[in-house]
Amino acid sequence: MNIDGAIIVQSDLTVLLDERCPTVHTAREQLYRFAEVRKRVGSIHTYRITPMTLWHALDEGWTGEQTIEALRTHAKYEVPLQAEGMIRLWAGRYGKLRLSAEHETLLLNGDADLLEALSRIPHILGWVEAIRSPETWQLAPDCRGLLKQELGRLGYPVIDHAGYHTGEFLSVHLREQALRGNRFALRDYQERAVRAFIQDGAARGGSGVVVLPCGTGKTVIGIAALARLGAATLILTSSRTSAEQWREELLDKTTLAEDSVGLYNGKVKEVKPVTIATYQLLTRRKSKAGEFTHMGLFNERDWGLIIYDEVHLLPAPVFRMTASIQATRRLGLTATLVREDGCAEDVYSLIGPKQYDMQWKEAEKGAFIATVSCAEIRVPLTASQQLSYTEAAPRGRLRIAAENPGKLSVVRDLLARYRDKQILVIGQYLGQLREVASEIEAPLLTGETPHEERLHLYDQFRSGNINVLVVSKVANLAIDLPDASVAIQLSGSFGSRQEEAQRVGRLLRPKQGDNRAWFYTLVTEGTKETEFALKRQLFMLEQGYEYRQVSAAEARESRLHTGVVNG
Amino acid sequence: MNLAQLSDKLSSERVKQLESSTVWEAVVARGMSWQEAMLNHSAVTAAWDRLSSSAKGSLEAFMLLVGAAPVEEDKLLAALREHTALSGMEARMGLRDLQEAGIVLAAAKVWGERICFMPTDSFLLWHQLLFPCPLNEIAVPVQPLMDASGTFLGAQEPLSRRVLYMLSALVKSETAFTSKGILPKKTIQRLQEALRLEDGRLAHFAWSVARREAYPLSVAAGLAAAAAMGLLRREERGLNVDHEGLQRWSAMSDCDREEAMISWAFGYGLKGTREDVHIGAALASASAGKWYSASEVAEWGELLLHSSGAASKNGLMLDRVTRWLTFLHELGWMELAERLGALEGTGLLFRRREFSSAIDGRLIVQPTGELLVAPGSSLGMRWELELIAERIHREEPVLYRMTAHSVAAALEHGRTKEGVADFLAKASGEAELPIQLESMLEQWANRSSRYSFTEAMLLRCDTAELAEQAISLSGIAEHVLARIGEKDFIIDPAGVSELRGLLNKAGYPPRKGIVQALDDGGAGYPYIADFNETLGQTYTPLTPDRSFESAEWLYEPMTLRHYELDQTGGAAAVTILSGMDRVPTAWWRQLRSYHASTRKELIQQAVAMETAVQLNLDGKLRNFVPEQIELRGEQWAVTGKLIGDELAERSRLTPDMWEEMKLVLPSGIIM
Repeated sequence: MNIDGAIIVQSDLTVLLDERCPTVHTAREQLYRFAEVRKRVGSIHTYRITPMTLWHALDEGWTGEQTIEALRTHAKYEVPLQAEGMIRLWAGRYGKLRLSAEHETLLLNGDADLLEALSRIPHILGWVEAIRSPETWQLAPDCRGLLKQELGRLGYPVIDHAGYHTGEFLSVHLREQALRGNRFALRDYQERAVRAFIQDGAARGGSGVVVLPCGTGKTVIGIAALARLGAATLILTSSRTSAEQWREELLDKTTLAEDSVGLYNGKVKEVKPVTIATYQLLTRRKSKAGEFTHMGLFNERDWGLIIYDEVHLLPAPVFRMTASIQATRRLGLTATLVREDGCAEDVYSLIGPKQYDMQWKEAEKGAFIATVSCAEIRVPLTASQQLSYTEAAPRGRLRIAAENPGKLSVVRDLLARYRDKQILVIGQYLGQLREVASEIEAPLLTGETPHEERLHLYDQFRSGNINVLVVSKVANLAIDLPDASVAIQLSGSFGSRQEEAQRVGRLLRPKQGDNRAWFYTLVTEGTKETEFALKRQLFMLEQGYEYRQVSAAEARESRLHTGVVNG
Repeated sequence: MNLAQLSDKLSSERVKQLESSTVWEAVVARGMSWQEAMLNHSAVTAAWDRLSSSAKGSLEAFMLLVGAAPVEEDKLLAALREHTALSGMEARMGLRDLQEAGIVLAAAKVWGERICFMPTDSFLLWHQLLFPCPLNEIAVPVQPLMDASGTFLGAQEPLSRRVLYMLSALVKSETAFTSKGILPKKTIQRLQEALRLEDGRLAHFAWSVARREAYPLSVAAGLAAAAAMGLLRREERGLNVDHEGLQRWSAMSDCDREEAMISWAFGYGLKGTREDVHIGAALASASAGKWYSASEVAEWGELLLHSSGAASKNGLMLDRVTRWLTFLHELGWMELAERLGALEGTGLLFRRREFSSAIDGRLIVQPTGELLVAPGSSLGMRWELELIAERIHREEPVLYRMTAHSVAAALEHGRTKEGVADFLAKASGEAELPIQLESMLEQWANRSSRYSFTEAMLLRCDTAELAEQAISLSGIAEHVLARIGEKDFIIDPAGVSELRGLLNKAGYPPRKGIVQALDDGGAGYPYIADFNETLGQTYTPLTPDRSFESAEWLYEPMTLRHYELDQTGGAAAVTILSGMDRVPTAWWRQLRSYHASTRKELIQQAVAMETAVQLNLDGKLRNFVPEQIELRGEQWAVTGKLIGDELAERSRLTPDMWEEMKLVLPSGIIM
């Protein structure tokens, strides 16, 4: 046993990192190269090595044996043989297959034995136009994406050096001073990320994924890549609000004119040199078996770049479409490469390898994101409310707990404490929100709020003209409220883990001053609401946040100031 | 039968007798008991040096020809006569010496049939001393084996751990026997899931499952192992975990616990063929943590077999080695691999796993309720975790997670929120639990088991008047816990007999039986107290009773349970040199040439005494063990074993073939 070992390697390549160990920093640095974080909770954080994380490491010049050696060096107990076997197996397959272009012809070069083995798979052989030699196959030109996807799924990554077409020229530059008046320049890591993606136009670059924590300016990296390439660009986002924010950012930070940037959504369908669409719209169809009516957008212009925002949410039909446009440069932006649907290898094959990443700790250290303190405040019911609660039907109970009037005084306390901060009050039930908004005299923003009014409220909030905004579920979507430093969650939708993560994520963007933010969730003591809150917090704990739990009375005694921070 | 079992059965006089043998003289003088000496490498080596040549020859032949399985004494002697250079008398004397020293023991049925055997655990030591397998460490990079589905084959959980999981499944299941006297089907399924042993990999040896129609081999093996370790208690109505046994078992280190299990498993494996015996003993001698080659063991096995006069089919020995390794791998004691870059199916390597000999692991408690158990953690801690949390991952460090369900189940079975929290704090060595976990515990425990149905004893009175009368009787009220309505009282069950006496005395004899008796059932999960502080308690698994309980699930091959151990000493059956008093002294004192009729007479005497003669054959002195005289009219010849360089050669001699001759008395005979 290596008593100084900071990691424990399991046979399925789960790696447990002991944060209490003195050598944890070196071990963590090594792990970042070839593993991904799955859970950051308590003193033991969970990482996982997958074919994709290993291939990303190999892309960066790392080797399988170096990976094994790094694990052995830092392992507390012996590294299981299977773990070493898997790494050798995956690493042994890397670099064995390469795509290249010879004039207009697509070639697959590879190890003769491997190609021989692959020739026994009928649908792969179906893409082969000619076998030029045991090491070189001539392929059908349209199979580039499908072949990479299929081989990736079989565990054989393909290095794609077949290059890209430039696409329609677009004259665009980054502004040094944003339209809103702020000075604008890429941060160092953003510059590095853009360079890693472009790679001076080499075939090795031009497609891939940039992984950055929430709030570190992924959108800016996309915009900068677009400006460097100077080509017509299709941007795919996860929501309409997010699409509108992209548009605003493009207009604010680049020389693009309004008529060069189009939104392609349910309301308007503009196909401009820079077009922003949503995954939702692209995957819309009239019937389950019908055609995806908007997928033609991929071919409506000669796009030189496609940006996939929140690439970990990329739906399967968009993957399929992406497989057919492999000669177009592709940039994926995400905070995590972990996919719950098992399609992580597809991201590698079809969007490209990881070109740049920065870990949360690094971002926090560099003050690129804020440090968030989370606390749950438990608010009791009065005796009569408790009686109503006990007698109510299950759904009614949830409602009674969520709308506990006692929460209002806690909100007031918090508003008083953070009177100089930008504060969001978020809730599930409109009646409660209306009442709270009226009591604290703050504007209310719900799904019923007209879009224009909503944008206006955002502007007011952003500019500091108003410092408290009461919002309904709309706040879960990708709205951008950069100056919100405090979020008070009045009620949540049962156990939705993503919801809470998104709400906390909203606070991560860097803050002026001490760069701190606070998230409070108010739950009614002794009710089902505490159970749901517990489920949500379990997820948050796994993401590396920590929660304090205090009673309303304690909160009033200002014990919240010693709040714990995200990990 | 192993030494612990034997020690329990042998009388103290017999043990003293064994320890007075000259073979053990030196080690006993150092304060070692016979049982300890038989398991001590240096003591066994010293004993070997003190054995007579007949005993040495007999022991070697016993181990080579018979193995570790019990054998009838007559068959053993016949085999020694047939396959060694020993004369019949030497064989008898050798066996007697071995029995006097307790190296070989005998058991007999009432009608006298005697069975000889060696204690299984000591057999391994003697085998390794007499037939050491030169295992050479293979210091090359290795890769794991891959199964047919392309999955790498990793180390399995050791059997003790699996048995623990099985026991925890047992306490959570219905354990009353069905009308057929077996555990319920659902319980058997749960035990099988908990054990996760593959029947196919165990089936390499001829396990004989009792009630095979009900119990899969894996479950029978798991239950047999648990019974052998004293962890099960068979009751009239069902099966239960033996709490005291579990407590004692948990005091052992992982290393000692697995050694006890290995010893138990070898008790079955070594009862197989001769090939199995030799290979098993060789594999048992492997040092932990080093890689060895399976084919080298097979080659050694073939040579050993060849030297004992037997031949094995091509590839058979490697097949036996692979079977043993598969078996030991499945039970979690051996790792398998192949040389890195070797062609598939070549270069099988094995490594004996190391287990912690200290109990020092701390529990890591995560705020989410995940609990990580470090290797070397106490079994008591693992047991408690089995009962209060859900096991998520079986690999080291084993991962548990506390959930609302697991906490509710623990509360249901007698645990308390405070007890669980105390356990977690103590096991983790932390002053306090993560606040999030405390909160979760509070949340989960807040609603579970807040109401309960408690069995109580009622004193029921026919009328309210009788109830009043009863309560007014002297001594009754102090046993009453509460009054229910007009006619009933809840009473302290411990006071029933006294109440009965008081009512009898008052002239109101109550009913003799207890109406609708409530069964206490002992439903709570057993506690292992002070899981971190039990190290140092002595624990001896595999006492005879446990072995026999074990046989309830797995039949013992060649069981000795119907035999009585010989408590008298091994010489009873040996009559040494009968008729020696009628033999002229010159016949055995000096080499002489005799008349033909005397030659015949001397040979006849040698056959009768089952001893050898020395003959001058063509000017060379050779020992010859005569077995039978052939008569053809006036002519005669003798057949027997001609001894040369320790090897015996079947020969037929006529009296004209030798010159001088004499009787050879076995060494150690002083006339």
